[in-house]
Amino acid sequence: MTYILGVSAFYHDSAAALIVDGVIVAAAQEERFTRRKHDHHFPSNAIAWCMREVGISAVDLDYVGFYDKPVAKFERLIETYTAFAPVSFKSYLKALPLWLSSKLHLQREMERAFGGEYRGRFVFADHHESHAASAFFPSPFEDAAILTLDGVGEWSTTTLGYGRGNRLKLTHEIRFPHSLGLLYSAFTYYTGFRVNSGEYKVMGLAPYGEPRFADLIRQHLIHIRDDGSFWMDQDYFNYCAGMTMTSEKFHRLFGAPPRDPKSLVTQRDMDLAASVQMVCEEVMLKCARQLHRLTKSPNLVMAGGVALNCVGNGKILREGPFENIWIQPAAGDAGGALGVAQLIWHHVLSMPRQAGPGDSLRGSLLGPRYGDAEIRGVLDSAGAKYHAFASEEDLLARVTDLLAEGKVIGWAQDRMEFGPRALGARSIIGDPRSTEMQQVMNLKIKFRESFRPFAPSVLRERNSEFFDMPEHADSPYMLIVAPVKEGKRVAGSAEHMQGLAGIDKLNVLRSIVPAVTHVDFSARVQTVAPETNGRYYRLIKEFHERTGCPILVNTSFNIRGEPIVCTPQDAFRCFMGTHMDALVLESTLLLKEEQPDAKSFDAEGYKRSFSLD
Amino acid sequence: MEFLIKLVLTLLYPLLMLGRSLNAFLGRDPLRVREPKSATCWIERGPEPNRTSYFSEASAVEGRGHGGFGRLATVALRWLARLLAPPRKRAGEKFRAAAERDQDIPDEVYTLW
Repeated sequence: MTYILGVSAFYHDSAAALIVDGVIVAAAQEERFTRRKHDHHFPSNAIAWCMREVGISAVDLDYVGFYDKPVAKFERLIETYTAFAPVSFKSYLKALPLWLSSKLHLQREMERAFGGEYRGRFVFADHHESHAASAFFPSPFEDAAILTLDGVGEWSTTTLGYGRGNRLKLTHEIRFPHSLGLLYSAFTYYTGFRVNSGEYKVMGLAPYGEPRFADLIRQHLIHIRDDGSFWMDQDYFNYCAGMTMTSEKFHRLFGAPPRDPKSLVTQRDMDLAASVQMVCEEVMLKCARQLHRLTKSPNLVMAGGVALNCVGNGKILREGPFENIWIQPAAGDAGGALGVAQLIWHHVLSMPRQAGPGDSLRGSLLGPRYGDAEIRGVLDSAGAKYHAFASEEDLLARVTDLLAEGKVIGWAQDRMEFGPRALGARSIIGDPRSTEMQQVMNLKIKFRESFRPFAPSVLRERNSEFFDMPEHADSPYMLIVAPVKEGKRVAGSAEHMQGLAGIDKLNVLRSIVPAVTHVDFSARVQTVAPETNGRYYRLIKEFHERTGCPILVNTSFNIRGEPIVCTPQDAFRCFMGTHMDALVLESTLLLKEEQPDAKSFDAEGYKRSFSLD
Repeated sequence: MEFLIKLVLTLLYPLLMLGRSLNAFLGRDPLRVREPKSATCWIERGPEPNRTSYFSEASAVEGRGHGGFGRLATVALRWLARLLAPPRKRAGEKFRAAAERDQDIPDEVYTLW
């Protein structure tokens, strides 16, 4: 047996992934264990769990891989401080002590983290090569064009490449500080959201606005070439040498300082979001076209934080030149752990790769699973009242009853998802036909902004009835946004919305599944298949047979600022701290109204324990 | 100790100023701060990394040929870092990284480092 551990750490979304003889057996993000969102510390907990999962310890590991090259990153940092001297002095003085004492001693730090038990060699891969590996190797394709886009790794911010069999090669790049990810983050910062987590909010806000700043962005901030490459004017940004994303010149260009996060989101913020989203989609599509010209492959794989921009992904799918697209579900830095582990297997050890027919991620359900006995032990010690179901059929029938009554249900079963999206293993679910569901879930369950949309989980075979996607296209990881079909929209709703501004559009009934239809009639689709999401698939099927609707609302099982739940304890706490009506933990059902401590539970304390993102 | 490190870093900073002057004098622009005149901004990457390169913390590909003079300071700073290597772990000790980020460094900036 060959055990290879991949690690990503020290920036954001630290994670570990373990492959055994080339098979991905475990992967998890550190935040799920420490309960600190985007935790950047060394993933000791995730590593310990991965090794426990296969019953090994650090002495048994053959290789440990780190997802980037610290020395190359340090060189880029120093070149940046040199280029911006003397303005860079303050940033230099803050960054360098950390590098000199810790980050330049990564191998020693990892040896310490393993307690001296690991005796093998450490492997270091280029950041974008790790992303590329995480996208290509688990994909269902024998050969594919590779596009990686993120903030920055060592030097690269965007790369084009090609993979065939067990090899991949990146051929072209755009380097720091010119970065589509950082442009998007600059607008995330400027519109008052938190960088590295608020990008999703900007994308969700965009459909409420008009892209009236797009030309200004193209003229001043980013010059886009026909081949998708671009250059960014650093006079408008401050991330190279300062402590903020944007400069005074940026603020003068858009006529105001950044929005105070505590202030209300205005129509102007929505227009800014729409504008940067439009520019981002334009670059993504042009990059995809250039990549197709270079590789002629019918297949595209993507990774890097920008690949989580599912609106842009949907545009590439519908308007781009590729027949098939596959996107790594843990497209951000967490996925780098998986990428470097697979690079070791295929590039360092030259092991062959067998592609398809499906991908090798098994629905991205690669995290911990908890058995009924353990769950009931937790519930007993918490004094909870619950119903234990002996048959899955009875459980699904009862849950379907509750969903059809409009109840909101916490649903935790199977192995936890790897990556930022909940895919039916740690989800909050509801009836998408309900006109109140979006508001109830946002304000009473998630405690988050009312403008944020929810995603539909749809039976894969029913996808094309509801959503405008190519017949053969699939979106198992909720990474493609597609329009709701004309026939499912409410007649006259588009005209009705034209007279309304911003959030008011939410009040218009838009489709027969309003809870998952955004104000531009789009939806972030998750197609659910029996092979990867067995029980979740059967639940939706039961709901379909009962109601005629093959869709459920699916949102991550957490509240604002909290990492997605991992353990039964996390799930029970979240259930008790919110207005969720029921909780399903594997074969166990809890109803809120039956819980003896439901009224006395310190819900406010629970909410306060997570800082807002 | 931290004060001492910052003092040495301050004394080394003029190397960066020198690097910037050399870049300006020789017309080098490793970050492409000035807009390239070419029809494309794509940079061709170097050859595929070989097996040996995966065992190195330096990259044979990333940033190849940038030509900047920041490397003068990089060499000096990497020498300085050797003096600050963290101790090997003692038995039974719980792991903590040898240095933690300052709390006042915003996420958006920290992730670039």
